[in-house]
Amino acid sequence: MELSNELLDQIRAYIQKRMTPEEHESFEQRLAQNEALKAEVELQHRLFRAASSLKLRERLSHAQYEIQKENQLSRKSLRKTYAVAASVAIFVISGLYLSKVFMDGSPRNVYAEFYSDDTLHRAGDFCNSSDLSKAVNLYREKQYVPALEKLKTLNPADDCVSYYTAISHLALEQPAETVKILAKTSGSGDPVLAEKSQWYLALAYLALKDKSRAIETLQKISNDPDNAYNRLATKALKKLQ
Amino acid sequence: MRILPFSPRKNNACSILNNPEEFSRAIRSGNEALQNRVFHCLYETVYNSVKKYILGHGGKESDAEDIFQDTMITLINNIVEKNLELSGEAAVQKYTMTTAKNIWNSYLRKQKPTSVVMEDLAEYEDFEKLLQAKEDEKNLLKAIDALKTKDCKEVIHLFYFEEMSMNEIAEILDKTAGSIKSNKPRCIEELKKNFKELALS
Repeated sequence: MELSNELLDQIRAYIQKRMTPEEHESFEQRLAQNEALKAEVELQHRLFRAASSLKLRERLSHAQYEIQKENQLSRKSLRKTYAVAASVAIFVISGLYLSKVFMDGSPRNVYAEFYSDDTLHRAGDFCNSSDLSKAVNLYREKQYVPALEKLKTLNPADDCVSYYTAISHLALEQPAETVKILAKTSGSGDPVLAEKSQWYLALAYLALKDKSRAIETLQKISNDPDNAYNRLATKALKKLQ
Repeated sequence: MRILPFSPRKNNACSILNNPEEFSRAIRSGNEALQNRVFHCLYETVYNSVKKYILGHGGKESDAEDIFQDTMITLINNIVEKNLELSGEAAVQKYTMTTAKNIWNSYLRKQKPTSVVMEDLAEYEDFEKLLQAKEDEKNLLKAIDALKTKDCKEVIHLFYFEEMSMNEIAEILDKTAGSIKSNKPRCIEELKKNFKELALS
């Protein structure tokens, strides 16, 4: 069935229950008389529903990533508590100076605390092109060098290719390369890619000990309440400051 | 020196689970920040139970993650489309666990149809719908990927995923509403063609 913009808007309003009762009734009557329109509405319903579920999955993955990261931090904090307690005991016994290493909010320490691979997103959720999937799988299996080799054969203008190239470099402790690439993709039109790129860009600045740029980038993430990395960025900022 | 056992921080924000009206409103609202708060709470309160069940019934951690996402999507769709009401944290936990178990058992049945007795046909039909919906998700991504122009990909993304109007799409893409008006139906036709071909293959 050929779709005009007006009909598309009507179908969307019907699917999303945004019609007045009169409009709804009138549209239902049209549906009852027109099999092609009925089939079109069913198809559009499937498309909108699929888009909505994909968006939800992406946000659920982010929530899960944040919780896992926060739990890791809690465990580290617990280990730190025990370690500090042990240090205090040693200090009391032997009079040795208590190391301040555990309280150090230097960029490298904050990086070590907050960095983890981007492994949560499974195929189908994000950067889903078939060309890219092999490289993404290699990255997820922590085979960063083969992943980079595969990525080199793909279109460098593709934002997803750039993103995975950048985070593979970061995993290989090459943050300068990461910054070069992510400084471009963090302004990507795709909001998920833009958020992820911003977060890993901040981590790359931390790895480079560029505290002022790291703070600037984290501040942007922290100031955006809808950003999926908002809570992590706020925590990282507190550590740094 | 006595070291106190670690006790996890109580998350006050999760009191939303005990406020059915606020919980439903947050799920139904388009406010992503509010919804993200709810997702965090659901992960904190239910994920470990679901994971334990899946691992104890032949699954892996990645299965637990998938099943939990399917469960959350089912929960959210039922709240939004079928006006499901849950009367507090215990009800949310019970509903989530039952749904997760049903989905996982349906996956097992699908893999080994003869080994598990089908107890509830309606439950199995729901699962078939879930599988169809997941297939649609994959096909939609592939159909978008197969669109010929970047312009079409952007228009489709903004229309279906961001649910923007024609004027909003024009503003974001820095184009006239007229050019979007003439391009959008063409892009949607191409998307539909790709999607139907994938669904049939």
